[in-house]
Amino acid sequence: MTDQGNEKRVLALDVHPRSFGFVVFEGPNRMLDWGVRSFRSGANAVKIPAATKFLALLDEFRPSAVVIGERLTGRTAKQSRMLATIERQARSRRIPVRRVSRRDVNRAFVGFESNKYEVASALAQQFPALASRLPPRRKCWQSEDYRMGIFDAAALGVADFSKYPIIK
Amino acid sequence: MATPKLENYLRTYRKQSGLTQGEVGFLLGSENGDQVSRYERRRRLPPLETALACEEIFGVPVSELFAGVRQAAGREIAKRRLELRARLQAKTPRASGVLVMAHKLRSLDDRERPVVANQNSSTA
Repeated sequence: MTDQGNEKRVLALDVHPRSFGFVVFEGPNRMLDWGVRSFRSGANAVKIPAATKFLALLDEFRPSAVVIGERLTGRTAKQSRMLATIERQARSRRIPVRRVSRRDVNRAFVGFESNKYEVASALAQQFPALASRLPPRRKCWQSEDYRMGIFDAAALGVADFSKYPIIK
Repeated sequence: MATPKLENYLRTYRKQSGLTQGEVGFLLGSENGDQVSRYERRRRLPPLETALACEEIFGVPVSELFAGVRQAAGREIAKRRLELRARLQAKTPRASGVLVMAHKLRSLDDRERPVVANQNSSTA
């Protein structure tokens, strides 16, 4: 049996106004699950609330920490509400919430920090399972592909592991 | 503090292989992926036949696919092994049974070491 037992499990989240990307890490080199969960409202509103979806992730993976991005400006009201929900639910289960800044991400991806796509490409190389989810490079008139949420969350997770290395 | 292993890692290996739940379900002989979903979400524990089929599908040993179950079983056995050894040592065997008793204790000792080593590595 390979020894992968000492690794901390971390849930990294990238919250957008209508969805959140998530990646579950077990140690810095192993991804357990990844995806995007939508919580859009309006005509095509999703039926399951975002908080329920987030709780399902906490229940399924029982992470030792939740990692979210530190963004000081440009947050929508829905994003702020979602972040507050995440913090409240995680605290209720005594799971610490850690914030990782853009600068931490750049430090973890030296040589790829010029833009998000470069970081996403580096992640796709590091984790081949993600390569099929890498969206094409967007043109300046296009909006961001929803799959970028997975890569942004993965970048936050990797940055968190380099910021808080595992002490055995 | 170490994070305990998940009961199973079926979803991780399925996603890494790029297969859908429906496709894994088909390989397992089901009509759809519902049962696979139940296994992944730990609502059901698959029977031995299915667990071995998963090993074949993903090319990963059962003990790794069901690492949490393996860890829990290892802990239980280690506990009972100690108890059994204490029980055996408390008995006073007849002259003819001394060799049998020694053999049993030796075999318990032999089996104890790897499991304890394994547990130490996974709970350190």
